[in-house]
Amino acid sequence: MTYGDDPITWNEREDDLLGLNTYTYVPDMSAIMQSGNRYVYGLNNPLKYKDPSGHIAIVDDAVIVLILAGGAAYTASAAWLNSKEGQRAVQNTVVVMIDGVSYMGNALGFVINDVISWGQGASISSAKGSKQSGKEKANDRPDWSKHYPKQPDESGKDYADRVMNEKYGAGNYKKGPGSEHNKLKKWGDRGGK
Amino acid sequence: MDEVYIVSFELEDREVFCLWYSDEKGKDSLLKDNNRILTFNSVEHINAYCIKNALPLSKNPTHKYNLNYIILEIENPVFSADKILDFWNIVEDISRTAGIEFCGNFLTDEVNNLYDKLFFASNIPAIRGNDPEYIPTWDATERELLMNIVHKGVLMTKEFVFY
Repeated sequence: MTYGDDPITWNEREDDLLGLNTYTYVPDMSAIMQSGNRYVYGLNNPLKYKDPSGHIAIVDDAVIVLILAGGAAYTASAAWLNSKEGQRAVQNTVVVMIDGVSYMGNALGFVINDVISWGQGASISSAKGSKQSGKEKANDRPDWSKHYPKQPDESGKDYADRVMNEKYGAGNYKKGPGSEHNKLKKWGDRGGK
Repeated sequence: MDEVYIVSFELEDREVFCLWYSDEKGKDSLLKDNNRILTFNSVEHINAYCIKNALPLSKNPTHKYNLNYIILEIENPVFSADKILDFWNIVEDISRTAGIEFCGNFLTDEVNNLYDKLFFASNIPAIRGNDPEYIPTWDATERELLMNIVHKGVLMTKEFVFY
């Protein structure tokens, strides 16, 4: 295994086992950020954090606010500074910037708090609970998804058995990994809505 | 358990075989021995093990998971939802067997919606019937989350199966 030369990528190494520009985390380092579990993403909370570079989990909204604040400050040019409008604009910009910095501070606080709480072995439920992004996707699904609705009290296994029996006849289908039955069962176990 | 099934994991020139089963409650796992996932070098070894331990081995052909392929597939703008869903599902089983948290198991709206979309994009014949194929579009956020789930899954498989 070869560690990357770039110090920014200190927590990554080239995955020479696969050789496909993928990477694995160095366990000792990633343990700090991921509470010893390398199979989670964005500090166990993909709703709150984004990790597009793999370098650090960030709250994207905070970054956007700061960029907007910076852009607003830039537009307050020198010509405006002596005018009432310019002064008001500067005042507003300062307020926006303060809000942005405050937001970023809160975001950083969330990150620090979460790192500390995971370091203390907090349960997974704390990672996926509050502060969702509010960017829930519309349920994009085909019309035929309504053909076989799962009953509320039905287990994934019962749902898969019912659909497969109805479709192919009792026992006239394969089970096991990768089978249609298994996919229906797993979807049902996740809620199947 | 009703039956045990042979699954294999391929990584470059290595292929490792495992035994997959579903318990009475319908929860899927891989067979363990001494707290580790039991792995075999060949189907012959599996056959011998099942005979020795009186395990009901399914006649289904070996279900293969190729890690190199799955990494390439998820990088592809037009990927096979069915293959990715299948891999996501087996990693869920590995994580249950190993007792390790996996981001693909999170029951958040974002992960659930992504899983649902992948499920329907698989166009499972039993529920689609003769209706038109569903080919969704994936936005950048969905793709990013999907790639991360697959990459974490590959890491987990490498650690707990190719040990």
